[in-house]
Amino acid sequence: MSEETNSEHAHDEHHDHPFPTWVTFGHTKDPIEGFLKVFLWLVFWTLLEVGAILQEFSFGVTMIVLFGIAAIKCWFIGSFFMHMTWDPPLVTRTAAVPTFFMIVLFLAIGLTSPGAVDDLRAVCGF
Amino acid sequence: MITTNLKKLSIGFLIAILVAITAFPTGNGLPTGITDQNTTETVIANGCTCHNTDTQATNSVIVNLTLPGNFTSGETYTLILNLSGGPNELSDGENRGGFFITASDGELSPIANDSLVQKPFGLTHLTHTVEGNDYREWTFEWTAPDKQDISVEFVAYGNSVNGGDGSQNDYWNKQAITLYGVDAVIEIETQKELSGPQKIIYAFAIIAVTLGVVVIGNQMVTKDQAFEEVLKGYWKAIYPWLTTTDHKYVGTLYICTGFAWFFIGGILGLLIRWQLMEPRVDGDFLTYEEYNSTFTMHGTTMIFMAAMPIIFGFANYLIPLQIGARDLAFPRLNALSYWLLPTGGIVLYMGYFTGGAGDVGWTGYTPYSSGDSSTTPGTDFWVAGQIMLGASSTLTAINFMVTMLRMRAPGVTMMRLPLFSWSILITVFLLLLSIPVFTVALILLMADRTFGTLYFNIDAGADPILWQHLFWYFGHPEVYIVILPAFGVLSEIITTFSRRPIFGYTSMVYAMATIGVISFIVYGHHMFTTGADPLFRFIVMLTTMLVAVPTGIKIFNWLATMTGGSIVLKTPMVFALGTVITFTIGGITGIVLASIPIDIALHDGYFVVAHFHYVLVGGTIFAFIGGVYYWYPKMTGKMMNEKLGLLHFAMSFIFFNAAFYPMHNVGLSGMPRRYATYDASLADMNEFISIAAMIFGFSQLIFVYNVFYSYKNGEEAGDDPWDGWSLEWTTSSPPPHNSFTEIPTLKVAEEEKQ
Amino acid sequence: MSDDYGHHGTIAPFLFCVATAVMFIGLVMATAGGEDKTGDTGYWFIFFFGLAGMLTGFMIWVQDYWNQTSEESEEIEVYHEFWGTITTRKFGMWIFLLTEVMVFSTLLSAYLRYRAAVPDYDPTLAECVGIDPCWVPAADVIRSHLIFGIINTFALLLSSLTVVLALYAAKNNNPKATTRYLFATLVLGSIFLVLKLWEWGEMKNGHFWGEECSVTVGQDIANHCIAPKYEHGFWLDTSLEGSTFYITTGTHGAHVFIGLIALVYLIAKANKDGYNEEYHDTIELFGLYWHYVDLVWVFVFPFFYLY
Repeated sequence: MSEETNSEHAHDEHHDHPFPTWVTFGHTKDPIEGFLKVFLWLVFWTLLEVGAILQEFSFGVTMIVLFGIAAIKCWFIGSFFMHMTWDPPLVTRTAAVPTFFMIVLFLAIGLTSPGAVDDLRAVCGF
Repeated sequence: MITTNLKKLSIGFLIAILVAITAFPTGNGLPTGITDQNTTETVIANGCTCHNTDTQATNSVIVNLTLPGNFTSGETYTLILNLSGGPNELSDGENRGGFFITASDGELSPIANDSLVQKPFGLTHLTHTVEGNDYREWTFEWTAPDKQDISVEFVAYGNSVNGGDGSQNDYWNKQAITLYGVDAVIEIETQKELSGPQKIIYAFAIIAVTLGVVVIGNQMVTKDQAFEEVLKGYWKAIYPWLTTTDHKYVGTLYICTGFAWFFIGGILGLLIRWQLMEPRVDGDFLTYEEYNSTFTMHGTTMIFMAAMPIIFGFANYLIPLQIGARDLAFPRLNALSYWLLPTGGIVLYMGYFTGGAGDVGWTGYTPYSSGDSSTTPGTDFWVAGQIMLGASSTLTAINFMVTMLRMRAPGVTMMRLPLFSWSILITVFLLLLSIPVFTVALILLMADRTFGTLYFNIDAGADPILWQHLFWYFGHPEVYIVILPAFGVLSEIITTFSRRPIFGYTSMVYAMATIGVISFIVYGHHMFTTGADPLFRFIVMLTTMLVAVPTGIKIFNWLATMTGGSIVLKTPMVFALGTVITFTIGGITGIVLASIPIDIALHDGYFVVAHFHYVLVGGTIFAFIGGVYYWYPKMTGKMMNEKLGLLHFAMSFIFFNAAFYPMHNVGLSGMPRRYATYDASLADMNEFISIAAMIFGFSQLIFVYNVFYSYKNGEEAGDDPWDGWSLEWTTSSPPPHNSFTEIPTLKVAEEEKQ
Repeated sequence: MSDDYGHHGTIAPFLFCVATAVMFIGLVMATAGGEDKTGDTGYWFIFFFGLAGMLTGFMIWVQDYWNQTSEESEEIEVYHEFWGTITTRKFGMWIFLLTEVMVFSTLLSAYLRYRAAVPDYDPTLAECVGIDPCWVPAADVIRSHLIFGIINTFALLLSSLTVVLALYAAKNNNPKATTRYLFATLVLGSIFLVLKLWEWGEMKNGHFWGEECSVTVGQDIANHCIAPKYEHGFWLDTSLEGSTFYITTGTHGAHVFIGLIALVYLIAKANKDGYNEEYHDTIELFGLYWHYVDLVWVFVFPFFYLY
């Protein structure tokens, strides 16, 4: 009696879950293999992170590298493990909701301490 | 002739002098100290009762007696008695203090050649001399008795003299200390006296138990039932309530619980107003610390245990009806959300049983709340209780978001949702994103208090302002969380009683959504005096003023709705109209406070208290009382008494304004908030406010009576007594068990014409 | 009370809440009660009693699901297509995860605030003479034993993979494999927690030393000597660096722990009835939570362990 309109993820033997080819280094039929490759990517990025920190770059470069790699890993986990690539747009849009509020939180709480930014005006250039 | 007259005159004078002498108050407060036997006995029995019009000891006078740790027989010790507190803080000067001390054993004696202390002839105690009454500290000696395995009790009285007025307006206190000999066996001291609030709570408990006994006993006698049968009968009635997951019953539980806590919060509010009836010294009615607990618990109770539950109660009851669903998406989770409320409330109030409830303000600013000066464990209970309440709100938010987005009936598109539903949807969206921040803040506070973390510890380099950021990031959306549903209720009532749809439905929806989003970027206006960055303050001032625009749009839309309609003036509508007026006033004072320079002057004063009571009581509470009058027929199938309703409105509206409007004035005059006393020049205003507030409080009893009376004797309501058009009015009153027998389809009026 | 679509009344919510209240009362009194307001240890019994009650409430709650073998009765009809493209419970889980995003954002913002307020320790900076006013991150203490953090990261990443594999095993009608993958997840998650707790213990007691720093300016902290302010160990009341480190990683650890409890239920259920093609949504829901926990670690790891 339930009429779930979830044909998008009608899971049968033959998964119609394409992985982007660059992720799996070529076409792969078996989603298990696809997920394994995603895992290997995650391992790779983690090693890159550790390597980056051992290089001891400057503060700015370190921040960009670490944050960037974290964001990439986040994308991998979200898109594939959490199924967002193949989910309906409702999921992606729901997940995007906190973005604005997170930014407000980080700016307002993270950067308003007396030592953080001496004068926001100076930073913003006026 | 003169001689005869002179004789008469001199006799007359003598008599006059004798009368004067006998009429002279022979109080215990002799500037010469307590020197005669009779007075001594009176003082030992009653204390320095001639001082202080209340003849009671006052907690604010602190009598400090410095004693050695223990005594050895025959040794002589130097003791110091010191007085502080009381009507004035000057330590020395004419007529400042007096004392009287007894020891149950051993011998007290003044130090040789000391002119400040005397031991009256033939008596065993020490007291001050005339010269000694200009001081507040006296030193003397005590020689221990022969035995050193006994304990000696010292009773010291101190009188804090205000330097004039005879014995009026002096305050005294007494201190009893037991000193043990080196070989004495120390007895464990028994429990101290109960605090005021503890007494009240125990009194209520005793009354409740007595009532329980009477009710059960009555049942046993009149129905000839055994004790177990009576209990089983009640259990059978209660058990369904404990286990329900039906949105209507959970909603009813929420509403009843919310109003019950509203009354408790109201009593706390009346305690505040009684305290502020006149300027008082510490301990006169409440101690200053008890006052801090009172306004803290008043605020926390009103917002978290009254306003939000009432809102969720109506939401629970009505949202599924308004969107045409059978229940919420997660009914059991809903029940969990509800039960976290009374249990969390009990945890919150546990402080009253353990030495003092949380006294950190409902805003709980650090480092006061993270340090030693806040009550312990009262403040810890305050934190723990709110963690539970925060969890409750989060689960509710998840439930409602899923329900309202997924479970609408056919035809109920988003832009056809009733405005109350829209208001709840946006409210839960705000809850979803702001409560977690507050919960984390509470956990950090608990960690600082309990586990020694340093998040708010200045010495460790932390920033107590972090708390303010975290709190107000939640706190500001929170106040919109309590007002948006009120806007929703107003829209419902005004449209039904103007007999026309809302003017500008789309703009109403967008206005509420805009208010919701902007509410996250205005919170800095609570922090104008923290030394925050000027640019941050400027941005926040602008956004705060900006949020008035959508709010104003809503107010104008309500007015336009009424202008274009034909008004039916029943109680719900009367409350709605009153709400629009008082909320608008509150909104305007909010804009006044948005201006940084004005706020810096008025921050933490009564102008702010006036502002938020106008929007919270004049906005949320009045709107939801109107909501009760409006939806009561739907929920119970009975109509409420119209006359009582109008009387309730008149009393509430008049006395609410009488109580809270003058707060703007005293605030502008500089009266600070959260102070247990104030400058004497504002006494008349405050007395007026207090009396008005008490009448306002008591007039709510009319409402309570109406609710109960109408449940038994109200007129039958029928499905749609007010001729409303939203889906809840299509089902019976009260709705059947599964709310709708068939899921309805919402049609638009134009469609039906075909 | 309504039961037209399977939700009957239940005592579980009431019981759970009463138990929670008892637990909190016990906790507060045990840590802040008593004559001297520093804790009345007799109340720990009350705390554990409350905890037991909470567990009982949870077990009564899941009683209904224990015997379920299909999702049919759970799903409610949807009349508005866009919102019906995923199941009710999946939608609910995603919305719950939004609140968790805010939780960890708050913790990270507070950390950012404190970290940005003072410069990182640099021997050439004037204000860092004496070391204390400058930030000596947890990463410095961890550097010499970073391998454990890396093992933990891999364990968590692998556990995310195993959960996905469990879900696909169920979809492929392989209940035995499902159970095994779920069990593997449990093992990996447990390794994570055990290693973390052990690491914490070592740091608290001041083990994992590199060389101790002398206070002379010019001593190269970059070579990761241990700052004097940590000479007695690195714990949550040692310094702000400690408080932020332990509370953030601790909150994450608590989320892992709760996940493991849910996982125990899943394994028990998988063992009993087996998840299969028809019935596997619970694994998907758990998976979303578990991947989120992994996601948080993806951010916590670089910003607390590496830098």
